[in-house]
Amino acid sequence: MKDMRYIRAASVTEVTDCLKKYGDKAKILAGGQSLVPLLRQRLARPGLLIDISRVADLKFIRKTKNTLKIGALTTHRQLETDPLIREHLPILADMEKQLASVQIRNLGTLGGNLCHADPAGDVAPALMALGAKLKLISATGARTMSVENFFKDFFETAIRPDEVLAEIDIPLLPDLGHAIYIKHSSRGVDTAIIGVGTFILKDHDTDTCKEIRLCVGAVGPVPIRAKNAEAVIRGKVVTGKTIAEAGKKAREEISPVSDLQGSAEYKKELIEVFIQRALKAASSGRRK
Amino acid sequence: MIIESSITLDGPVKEVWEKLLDPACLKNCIPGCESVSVQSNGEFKGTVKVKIGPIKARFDVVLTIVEMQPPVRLVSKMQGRDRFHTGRFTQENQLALEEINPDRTRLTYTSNLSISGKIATFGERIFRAKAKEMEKNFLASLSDILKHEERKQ
Repeated sequence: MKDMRYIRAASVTEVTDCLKKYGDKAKILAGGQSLVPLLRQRLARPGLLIDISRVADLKFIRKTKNTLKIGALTTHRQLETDPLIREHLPILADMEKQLASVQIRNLGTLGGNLCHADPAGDVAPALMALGAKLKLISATGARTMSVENFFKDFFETAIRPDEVLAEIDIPLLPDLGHAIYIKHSSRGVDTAIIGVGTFILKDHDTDTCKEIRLCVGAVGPVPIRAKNAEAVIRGKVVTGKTIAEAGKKAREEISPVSDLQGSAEYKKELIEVFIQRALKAASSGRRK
Repeated sequence: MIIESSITLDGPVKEVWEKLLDPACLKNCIPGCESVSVQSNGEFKGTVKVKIGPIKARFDVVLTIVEMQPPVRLVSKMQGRDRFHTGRFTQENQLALEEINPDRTRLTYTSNLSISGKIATFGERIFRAKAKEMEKNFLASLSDILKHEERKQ
């Protein structure tokens, strides 16, 4: 077996210095809920593990005037139960309730989930729907990037080998804005066969849809924006007819692959049905 | 898993056939391919590196030709084993070439892929999708090579 070094970092600076030195030979360990099974199976064999789980600077939930700032090491369970999240972004608490089991949520982190970039992850479609931004830090500086541009391929992100994800910045929902996340899986604790994050903002006077984001996870290498379906809804009053049309458009524009979870045709059906369900719930202001 | 595909390529049937059996061309077309060589018994041997996020595998691949009707039909069997013992795959391929006109050829391809071992138990859904993507890239590269091939008029 190949030797693997282990460093427990105490600060963000220590993490970025290590990453600068070791680059892609190093792998960051946060909650360990995705990486440890890969290490155990010898599917991942990094030369160095940088354990960031004790870096206190990456554990926070803070409210600013227009956003909620969440540290990358915040656990799923903290997101599920935090009063600030429940008050301002209930979609995240609802999403977390559907993510794996309590045991996993107790240890797994928001940043770890995003950086692992499992295409069936629940966090990404919800954050994409909310228009969240990610702050990536390296020894040479920091940059921000939208969640939408972060995912590149199966388990691949735009993060550079010398960078660590530090913070997730989520705009607060405007008045008359609604966001929900719904998913379908074989059992509650399983990974999603489909997950849909939806954000709708309606015009106060005309009740037409001013802004919409429909984000579908688990049906491609990365979470996908159903842009043709969004175009059906944008600028119109959301009715049963437009919802049905949007579902059909989403079915046409997304091409899932057959696997053990279901055939491509079955997944297309799920896309249509779940886009419709998500639109119905979000446009009526329901949480599910 | 069954992978089916069909593509129209530039070039006469004979030339497409030759390219498909040319180790240098295969090396350029197969995504992640590090080497391909023809053995004395007619088998093709090679190594292919596959990377999906933190998962890395390097497969030693052997391709055996089961049936051949030059230049229109090729049945082959491919077996791959990861050097780090994370898994293996077998793939049965049927390939047919059909002349559309003297300069254009239709390639039709059916392949049955089975993955086993740790990579299958852990990342079956991912490897399936990755295999499809690799096949798409292979055909795109082959098409590109044939498009830029200089032909005598």
